[in-house]
Amino acid sequence: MSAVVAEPEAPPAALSRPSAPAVQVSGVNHFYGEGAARNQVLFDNCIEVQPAQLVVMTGPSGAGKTTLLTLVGALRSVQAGRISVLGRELSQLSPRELVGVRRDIGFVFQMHNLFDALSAYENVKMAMQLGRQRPEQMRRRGVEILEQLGLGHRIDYRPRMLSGGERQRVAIARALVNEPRLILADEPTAALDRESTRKVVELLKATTVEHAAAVIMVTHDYRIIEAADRLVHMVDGRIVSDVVLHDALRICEFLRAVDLFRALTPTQLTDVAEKMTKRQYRAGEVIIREGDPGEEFFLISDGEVDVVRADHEVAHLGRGDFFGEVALISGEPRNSTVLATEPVDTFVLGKSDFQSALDASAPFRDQLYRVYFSRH
Amino acid sequence: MPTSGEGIGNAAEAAKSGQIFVTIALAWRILNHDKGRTLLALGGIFMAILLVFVQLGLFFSVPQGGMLLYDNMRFDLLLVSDQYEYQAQPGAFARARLDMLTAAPEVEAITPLYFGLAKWQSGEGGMWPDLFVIGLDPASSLFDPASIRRQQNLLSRPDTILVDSATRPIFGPLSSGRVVEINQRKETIAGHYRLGTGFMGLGVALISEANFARLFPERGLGLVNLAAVRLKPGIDPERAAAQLQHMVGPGLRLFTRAALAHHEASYWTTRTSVGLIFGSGLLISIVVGIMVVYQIVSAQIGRQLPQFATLKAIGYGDGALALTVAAMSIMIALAGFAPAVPAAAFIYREIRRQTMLPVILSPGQIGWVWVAALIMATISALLAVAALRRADPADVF
Repeated sequence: MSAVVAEPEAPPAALSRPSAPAVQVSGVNHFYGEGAARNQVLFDNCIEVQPAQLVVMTGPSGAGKTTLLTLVGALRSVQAGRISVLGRELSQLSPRELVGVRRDIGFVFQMHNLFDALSAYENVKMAMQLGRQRPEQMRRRGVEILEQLGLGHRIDYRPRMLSGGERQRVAIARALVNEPRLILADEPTAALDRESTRKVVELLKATTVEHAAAVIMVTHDYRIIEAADRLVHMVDGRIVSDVVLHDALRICEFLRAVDLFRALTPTQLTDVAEKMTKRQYRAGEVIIREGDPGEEFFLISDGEVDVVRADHEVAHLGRGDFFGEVALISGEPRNSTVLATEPVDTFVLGKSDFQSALDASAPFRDQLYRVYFSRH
Repeated sequence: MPTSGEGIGNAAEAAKSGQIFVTIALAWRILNHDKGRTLLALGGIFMAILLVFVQLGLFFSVPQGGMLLYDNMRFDLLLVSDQYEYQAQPGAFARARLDMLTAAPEVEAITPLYFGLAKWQSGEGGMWPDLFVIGLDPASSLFDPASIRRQQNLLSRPDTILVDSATRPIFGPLSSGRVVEINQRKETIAGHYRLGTGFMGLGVALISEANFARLFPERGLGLVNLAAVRLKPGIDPERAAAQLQHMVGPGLRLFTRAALAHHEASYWTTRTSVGLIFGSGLLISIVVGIMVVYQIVSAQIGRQLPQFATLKAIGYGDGALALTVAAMSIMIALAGFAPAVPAAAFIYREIRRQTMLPVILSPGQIGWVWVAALIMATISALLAVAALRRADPADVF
């Protein structure tokens, strides 16, 4: 697995300062049962979620998404590996401290789990009691969040008098009312119609933007994916892909605009994009050096570089251009040096992944050969 | 959001007190929401608490029933045989042993009492029920009730009796002037009084010593069952009892009124099945109450297990949720307790009217039942909290 991990595009100025990851999962394994019935459900999972990221987790049933979510939510004990949530290492906390961690998390469950005896506002207030709202502010805040979710006319209604979608929105209001720094949601829109889904997604997205909250959402609802910053896919207890959607889309756009990659199908493009990692260089930094062995292929996301051979500039490349493919194909050392002339963001593909992409696409390989020969 | 440390502290305290309030309010709302089911359940706890009232009332009053006679007698010390069990099995001792006591400087007067069981041969339908006969000196001023004092002189007439009006109907009409046959002697009912028969039997009559001797010729007046001792004014009964006990020697025992009450209570609760019957009844009532409250609370928790699990998930601690359970239990117990008090008062009155047992709904009694109700609530809450532990927050995902 390789990961494209980055800050989301254009975070608000107030939030753009460097901050610790909201969630760090490292080498997490998990088992259910004991003795002969012991069954491993998570295998060496690693993931890091930054503040202000909306991460969508997908995967088939039994893939381990929910188990991973419960571990991150401090609802289960970490058996193996490390999980840090909002700066606190979960395995080092007492049960009481774990309850404290959960108060900083907003939970949205597939089932609304509202108390029938309480009104919409009172159900939300149950969560507010755990937050920092002063009693005199609670009504205003509760009404505000319910109105944001289109429930201004249902504030004092009991769940029985609400539709399924309205109940779920109350549950979401309960999760968001304390402005948590981390929101964990399991199929939050499963019971919602298109309009309700839109409102919920907008609010969750706004939470990431305005409050820099990290959101991890398990869902099969494709309508949500376009709002996601990252798409994590799990299969059989493993994270098999972890894509920063903004970057992946950008890579695909770049690759599609280049003649060399026009023959790739959308699936092949996304496969290549998924395998590329983001790397940044300072102005004046050498990206590849003439004579070094060729190990990586580079695509320029932002910034400009000079290609220098024998102290002579032979090319000036910018956004959307690529380099490094010649040494990968020929197996010979780098034939030129590439120098960042300003801060440069690149997407990098390793040699083996490059070779796999090459093998998977005959037209791709043929075109590369043409490029290779045209450069000699 | 508070900006100062003090502000944060205040907010935290407010939050904490808010949580306590909201968890208690939640308990009330849950119970209040499902009114039909809650009312049905309250019927159960009402009955359980009423049972506690009745069992507790009888548990306390039965021993007091043994004091019925004594409570209506004027004495400071009661001299009895050391074979004394209770009122109707007092044992006996020689009347001559009273002589030295009569001479004691502390003693003002001694009234011997004679107890005997006679056959009432004029019962309904030819029945011969046993009559508990109390023989005494008609000139003594032993009994308090005006109905006895007013008519006591009538006992000076030969073959005359005063009958307790609580005597059962199987004895036939108890009208004044009726001549009845007792132990094969014709006796005239001169009047009635009302003390209650207590544990003395189904019927009780007062007669003079002379008449007693005629009714029980084989016994005569040489053996006394009890002797009521009145001390001179200002004499401390406790101290006098200790001194006089020394004087009367072995085989006899002197009770102060308090020691007598203690002896009766102890006898009835520990040496007879009364304590076992009403004590176990009391225990069973409390267990029933516990089960009823537990059922109500655990059913409510069971119905809303995902909701409680959600509260745990979002950060409510076990303590806060246990408070909800405890509040539910106490509210149920209180709701059942409130109507049980007047209902118990009514039942006590009926028992008192029917049995003459001193079943009295005292503030202490109400307090004890409230304590029992709280015990029910607490134990059932502890049991129900175990049900709450089944609410695993990880399961709500």
